[in-house]
Amino acid sequence: MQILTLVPSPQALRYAVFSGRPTHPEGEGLIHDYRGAMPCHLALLKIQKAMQAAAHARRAAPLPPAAIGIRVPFGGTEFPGPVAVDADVVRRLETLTPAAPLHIPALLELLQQCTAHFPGVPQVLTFDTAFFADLPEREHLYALDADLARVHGLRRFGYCGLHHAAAWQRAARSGATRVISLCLEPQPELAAIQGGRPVYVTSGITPLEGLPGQTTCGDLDPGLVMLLAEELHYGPERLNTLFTRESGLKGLTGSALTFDELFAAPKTEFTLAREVICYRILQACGMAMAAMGGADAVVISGRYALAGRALAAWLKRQAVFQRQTVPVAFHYLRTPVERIVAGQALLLARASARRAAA
Amino acid sequence: MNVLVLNCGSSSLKYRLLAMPEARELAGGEAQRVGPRTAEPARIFHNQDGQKTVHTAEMPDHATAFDEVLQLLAQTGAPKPDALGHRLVHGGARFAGAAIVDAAALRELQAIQKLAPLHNPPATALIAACSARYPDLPQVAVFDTAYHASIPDYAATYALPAKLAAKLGIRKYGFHGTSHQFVVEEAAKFLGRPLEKFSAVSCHLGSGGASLCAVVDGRSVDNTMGFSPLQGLVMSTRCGDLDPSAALRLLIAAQGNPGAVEKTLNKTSGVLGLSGVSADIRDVLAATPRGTAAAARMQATSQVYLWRLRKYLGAYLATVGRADAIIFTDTIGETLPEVRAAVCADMDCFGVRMDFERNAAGLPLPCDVATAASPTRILVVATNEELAIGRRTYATLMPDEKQTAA
Amino acid sequence: MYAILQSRLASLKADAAEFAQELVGVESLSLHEEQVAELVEQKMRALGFHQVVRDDYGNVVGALLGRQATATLALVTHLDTVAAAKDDPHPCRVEDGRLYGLGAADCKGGIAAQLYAAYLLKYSLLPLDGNLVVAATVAEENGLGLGVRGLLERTLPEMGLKPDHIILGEPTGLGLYYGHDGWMEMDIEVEGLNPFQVDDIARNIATDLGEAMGSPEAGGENFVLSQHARRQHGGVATASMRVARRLRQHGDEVGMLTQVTHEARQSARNSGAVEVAVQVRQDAQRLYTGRTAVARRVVSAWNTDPFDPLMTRARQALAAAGCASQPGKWQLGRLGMGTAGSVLVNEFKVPTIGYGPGCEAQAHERGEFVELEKIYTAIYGTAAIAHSLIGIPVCGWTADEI
Repeated sequence: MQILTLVPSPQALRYAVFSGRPTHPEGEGLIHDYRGAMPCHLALLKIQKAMQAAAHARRAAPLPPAAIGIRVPFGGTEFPGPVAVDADVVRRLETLTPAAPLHIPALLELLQQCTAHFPGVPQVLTFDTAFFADLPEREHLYALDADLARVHGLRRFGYCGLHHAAAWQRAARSGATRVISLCLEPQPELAAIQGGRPVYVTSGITPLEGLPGQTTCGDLDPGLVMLLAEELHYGPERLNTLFTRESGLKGLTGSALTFDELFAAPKTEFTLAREVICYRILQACGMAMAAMGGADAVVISGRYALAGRALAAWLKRQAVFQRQTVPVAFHYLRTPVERIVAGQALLLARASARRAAA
Repeated sequence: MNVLVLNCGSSSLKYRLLAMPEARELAGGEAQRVGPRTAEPARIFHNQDGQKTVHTAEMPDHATAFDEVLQLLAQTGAPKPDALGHRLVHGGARFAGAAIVDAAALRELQAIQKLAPLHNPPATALIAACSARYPDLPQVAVFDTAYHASIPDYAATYALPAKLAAKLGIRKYGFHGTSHQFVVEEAAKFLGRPLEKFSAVSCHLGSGGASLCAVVDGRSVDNTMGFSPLQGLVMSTRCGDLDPSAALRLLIAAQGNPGAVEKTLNKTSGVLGLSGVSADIRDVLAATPRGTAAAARMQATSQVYLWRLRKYLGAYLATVGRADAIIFTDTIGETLPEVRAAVCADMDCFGVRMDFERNAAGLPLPCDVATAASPTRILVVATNEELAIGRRTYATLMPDEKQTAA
Repeated sequence: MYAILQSRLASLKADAAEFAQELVGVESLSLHEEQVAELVEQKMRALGFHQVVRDDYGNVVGALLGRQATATLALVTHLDTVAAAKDDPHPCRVEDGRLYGLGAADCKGGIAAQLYAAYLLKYSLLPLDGNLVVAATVAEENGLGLGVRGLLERTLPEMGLKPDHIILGEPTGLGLYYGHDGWMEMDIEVEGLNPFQVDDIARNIATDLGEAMGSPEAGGENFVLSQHARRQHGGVATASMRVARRLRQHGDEVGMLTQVTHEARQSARNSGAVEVAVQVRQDAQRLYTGRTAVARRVVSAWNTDPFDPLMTRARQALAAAGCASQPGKWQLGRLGMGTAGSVLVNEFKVPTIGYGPGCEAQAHERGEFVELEKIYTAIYGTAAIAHSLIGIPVCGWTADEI
């Protein structure tokens, strides 16, 4: 049983093909400029051809995949778990457009093209926000006028849910019930997970809030937004570029750095940026512990999970971790998101196959 | 030396005449409804020798109010002030400590007014008027931001382009410093610890603004307010923390007009925005609303308020590492045991164990409401910003006598 | 978002240039725009506009409908061009990155830019909250806003659309323009019994008014004068001439007519029994659709407040997109120039600005051209402005994946 996974982003469309147990992909690739010069239908054609070529190389019949798993960055509260696509799902996705305008229309096009190129193959959507769909009200509300917040859809979500869910499973296997999950992606996110449910997360309406990222500013004094608008005569669009593309590690250091590079750099380089990141993460850990009344484990996941080892070494030396009578366990999870997507798609595909058989 | 401490609100002038260094209060009071005429007349509520009196006067601005206060003091036979101590919210990057006001300092004060557009201008205008009318009366400006000058760069830096931040003076300044410093000093004294070895999280929970301060070795190392007093905790009408993209969305809705967004986030958010009925968390906590929707909204408001406070308490306890004490102060912190209980319960992981009975007992301040075994003490301390400003003013004018003042 | 727009634009450039060249290749003098209207309509249908309408005036209107229809932005250009000079062979060609031909700058380059700007947003899958209308109108150059008046009065209301902001694709050299002076053409008639005396008086008037106002050849000055012509009818001799004056402000029209009448009569005084009458030039025009309408030869001055939110947001959007956005006003170097802004701002009170790829200096010139690069920039810039006004904001999201 083959699973095709698609992880779209504005820059590229990542695809991978898994067989049977989703441990290691049989084939994978990256289609560049997916939102630009490469139209969606050509991207799908490329993937189709690559799969056929791979089958040919194995001297196997080129069969369509059993399911296509697609990672979706935003599902709001509408999608608390993975779903198989049908007309109703498409309609519900459409209503999410205002909250994720960059992603939902592109996703709908991708779904159409998947149907065109792989007719009859079930499409399974796995949402980054699903893990946070029932975030407690005390955590998701902003201290804003309630009507204003409703009109503009201002409430908090979590955005690295696929990683956090996997992190929880990892820690729970070791018996932890209060887990601090740090997902080190270009926009990192920290969540407190108590008994499998998130009670605290650093992100906000968008992944911009919270921890600073590679190019994103993270938490700011909201007053700064107005100051910058007035002093620099920047409009909201330009400010958005400033906050999302020119800030974070890039803004602090002046160079485009990944978290791997930041933590691998000699001590004398990028000192302030490293200190800022460590400090903000320490404070987020404090928040998580206050939220759960303590912590049993810290799980560091995401593509820079290895950089997390240096970070963890620093965290462990801090008094708040030192003072715990039962030491907090640290785990590192390097599962790529494709594997998580494939796993969820496989489960859902099998379940619906069973239902169909029954 | 008699120091007259002045604290300008947007439409009020609080004053207190203190005999220093013994910090004996000679007189005090508050001029209310300063500014354009309102439905009720402007009045001065004066308090001297245990007697409370009310005086009506025309007070179109703070300078006139100040004149009225001086006259009142003379009439009631209070001693003449020898110095003025002004409270200023924002000292910018220029003022890292209290400063004697001279012509140069006044120019600097006028230059940094826009950093705190709601708070600094009335105080600065009053200082300018006092300089002109009473050139021989020494004046000292005491800044809310000054205590936070010791916040290290890694805590004060926003992850914005470094050059831009340097150009516009963007960093975390922190506020309520006068109050935090005062209660930290009081707490150290109360516990008999040397200030320079005293670490704490100070919670200044006012009915208007609120902030937490992380203190290591007697010095501020972080504050929940940031560049402006808008960041951090949920406040009466201020939103506190917010996704920057939310401000951008509101900016677009306001057709690019930042003033409108500023007003929304400062004036109609916070407890007021959440509850829709009151800007005072005491009203929300005490409310017994009819109907499930209203009850749910009150519940949500208090939960958001307390949850944010609790999370920050955790963050700052992590910052401090091994805190000697958590200090609660100002209206909410001093008078609402349920707020203290909600944020201190189940915080054993930080070495915090509350004695809930003592907490609810309404003990005289300062008091310790932690269990005997709690490694971190939980203190309730009355703040006294005027006294703190008086002390700072005296210490600034009489540097050699500093030891006596402290 | 801007990276997506730029990247998608790259694959549209060739199509847009080809379309612009097609438009220039078809002659479309005022009142004869049918063929070019056909081209625009076909293109709108091909690009998948949600609504495409050709109205009775001959205007072509396409609309992309937003999710909430919170606001409507109209991108407006005109289909017609002024007559070519006789010795201009009207060669439509692309040379050194320039598209040459009658109407290239004024304003067929603008039609292509606005149409493709709307399509660029759609093609980039950037959703809109409000409606986006693209309209190319008839009888602008000659008909003095006949087409655009019909568009606002009838066609858009019938489509259920009411524009809140308008961007004109007229030549601004990619600057943000917010108004221009107006002009007014008047016919002066001198009537008397003695034909020689009538001639003399007409000559006096011409000299006096000419002196007062300068001549049009002096580089787009305030005044244009046609030589008077005299006709004899029975015992009555009538000399008629045509003058035009620049209007500095909206609302000057009546005052200007009074002033010119007064000046003409001053010139005629002491010269015996003659009547001097001045009236605004007006004539009936027959649109290509067969509809007729009366055109008054007045282009009123118009002005959108340079601090109007439309200007502010447009400037902010262009800055964010990395485009220049020099604010300015059209100079109207020649008589007969004008834009639909007069009608849109003064009569319909819709905030209007101009942003187009052509250069004003090229308009109505021999050897008119528009640079293709500027068309591309106009597509991108117009899309950025439109998105800032009616798009669903993408605040907080990066182009990087999360």
